[in-house]
Amino acid sequence: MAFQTLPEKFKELTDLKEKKKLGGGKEAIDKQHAGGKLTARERIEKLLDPGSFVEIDEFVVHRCFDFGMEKRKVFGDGVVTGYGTINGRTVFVYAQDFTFIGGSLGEMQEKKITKVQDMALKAGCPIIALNDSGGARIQEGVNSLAGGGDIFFRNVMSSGVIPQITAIMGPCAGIAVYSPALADFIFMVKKTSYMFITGPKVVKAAIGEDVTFEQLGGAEAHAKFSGNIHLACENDEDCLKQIKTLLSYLPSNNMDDAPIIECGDPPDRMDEALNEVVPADPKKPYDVHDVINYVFDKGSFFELQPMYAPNAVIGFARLNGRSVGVIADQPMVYAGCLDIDSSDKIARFIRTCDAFNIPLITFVDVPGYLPGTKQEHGGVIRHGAKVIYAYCEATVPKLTVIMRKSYGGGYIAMCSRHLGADVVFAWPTAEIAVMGPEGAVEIIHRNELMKAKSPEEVKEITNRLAAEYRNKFANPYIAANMGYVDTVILPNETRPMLIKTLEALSTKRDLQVRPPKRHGNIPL
Amino acid sequence: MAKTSKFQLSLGNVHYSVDITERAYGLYDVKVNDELFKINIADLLSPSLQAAGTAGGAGGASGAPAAGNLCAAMPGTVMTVKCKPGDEVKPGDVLLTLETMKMENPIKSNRAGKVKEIKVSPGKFVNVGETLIVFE
Repeated sequence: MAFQTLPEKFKELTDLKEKKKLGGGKEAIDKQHAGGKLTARERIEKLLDPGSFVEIDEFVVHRCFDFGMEKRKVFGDGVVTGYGTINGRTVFVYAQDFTFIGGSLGEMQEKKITKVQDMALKAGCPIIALNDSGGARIQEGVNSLAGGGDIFFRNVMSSGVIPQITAIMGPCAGIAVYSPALADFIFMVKKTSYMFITGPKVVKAAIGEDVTFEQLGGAEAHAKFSGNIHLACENDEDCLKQIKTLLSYLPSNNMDDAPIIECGDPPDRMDEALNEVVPADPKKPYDVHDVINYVFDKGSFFELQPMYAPNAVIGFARLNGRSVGVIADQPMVYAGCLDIDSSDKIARFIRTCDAFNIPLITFVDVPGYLPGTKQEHGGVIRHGAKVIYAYCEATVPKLTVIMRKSYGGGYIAMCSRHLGADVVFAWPTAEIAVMGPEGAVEIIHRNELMKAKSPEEVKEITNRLAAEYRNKFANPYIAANMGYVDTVILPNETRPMLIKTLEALSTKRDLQVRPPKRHGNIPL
Repeated sequence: MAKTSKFQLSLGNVHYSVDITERAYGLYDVKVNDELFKINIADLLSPSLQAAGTAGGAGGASGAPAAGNLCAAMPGTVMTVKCKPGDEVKPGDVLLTLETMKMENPIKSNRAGKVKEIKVSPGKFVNVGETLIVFE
């Protein structure tokens, strides 16, 4: 009996490795390229540091014998899994391979994914999922569903321990949407990708609605309306680049700190121009991005969900190289009111930052919660409560800057001293009160206003009393008298003040006695 | 494999033979009498998607570019109108101010063009998505 020689054995391996690279075949790869998409392997190559990728489970094949599947087998079973580095830091990664049965989630593909999820959790390193899959592999029946559930379970076990980042880079439908939804961040590529529970055909059959793929679940739809995604990216390359940028703000796990990235921007930089951003007239809007750009390290602001609930602005930035989470009211949109969507956006971001040891910096200019039946019937009370819950729960350093309006429930909710802010700064333009002057006058001086004989007189009295109220109450000093505001500073002192304070709090231990519990019960 | 659908169209006396091939989701090759056009459905849709953007959610600070109109991105009361029919405007020009939640929001033009009609006057309450200004 003849043995294979060593060269023959080695050649067999090389041949197999060459074969696996083809995935679903050359024709399918060409189609992927024609659609403006990269293949799974190309995506991983572009994402990771050159030469760092170690692929595992490349010889895995499915074991389905129904519907002629025994004839359709490809090494890897429609997903590429492994690990490598991004800017020298280890990450685990899996990329679905649309060229093989549409990247569908079969039993063995799911076993590969759960293996790499387990490895990432054990190693305490981020996991990045590049999704491009038609959904469950129908030929494999309930085994396909079982594996899906196994993936979700690991998503939940990893939640708050390692960063889970998902990119939607093709179709993502049915059960496939829930793993991304359970992740910390979802990025999505415009035009080539869509995400929904049921597609347009089922929508038409079920409720008679005519809608296209793009309208129903395209990147724009999710970026603007559903808030399911954090960024809509131009193409595959852009998406992979954004993931790398995002990672630079995150620690590898919840026991770790985010990397400090020096940028050369002086910590004591004070821009005169920042003093001019907030108008003295509280009726005049301004773009809070201007404030953010002056305060944080130059070019470091990485905004998330920019198109969803734009009345609140969230994102990561750096202060003297340290990663922070920024939450700001946007007076340009709905006067910066909190509403259902912005509350959800803010609360989720607070919890993301808190889970990963990223301090919170909150900029306040909020007249309150948005009124109206749409808001009340939509549950603004429940959603608004999430902001309060999340701020109270967060134990990372919490710094607050009250720029202008800070009224009523909005004052309390936006990281006030009472919810556990470590240091609260206010600008001279701050107006901290139960409500705005006009509204307060209407209530406090109702009797006096009833006596007025003409609308002109009502207006005259209101204006006079509102001015009195404004001078007396609509300022930062009453709150500072009580110590609710720690200090009142000029806007352009904000950068050095935040940097010094963050430095002082870098050793923060939460001394609040928090009773033991199974878990809290955030109003979801 | 890409699937090609073939059509024969007649408009009056002009006849077209049209082959439509779907290369990938949303990307089509359309061949009309041997002349090839590459069509991206997402491109065609985006104006209507953006228009929908003004109708729901908090929306942006200024109206989205719905065909020919500037629409309200927020509900509010019109305070001042700063343009008149026939005015040539540039993107960023303030066309009116809208008071929402006691904030006087300057509503800026989203395009260069000529104002055809102003649909609102000071004191009028407008809802999200309502047309403010019609361009020529």
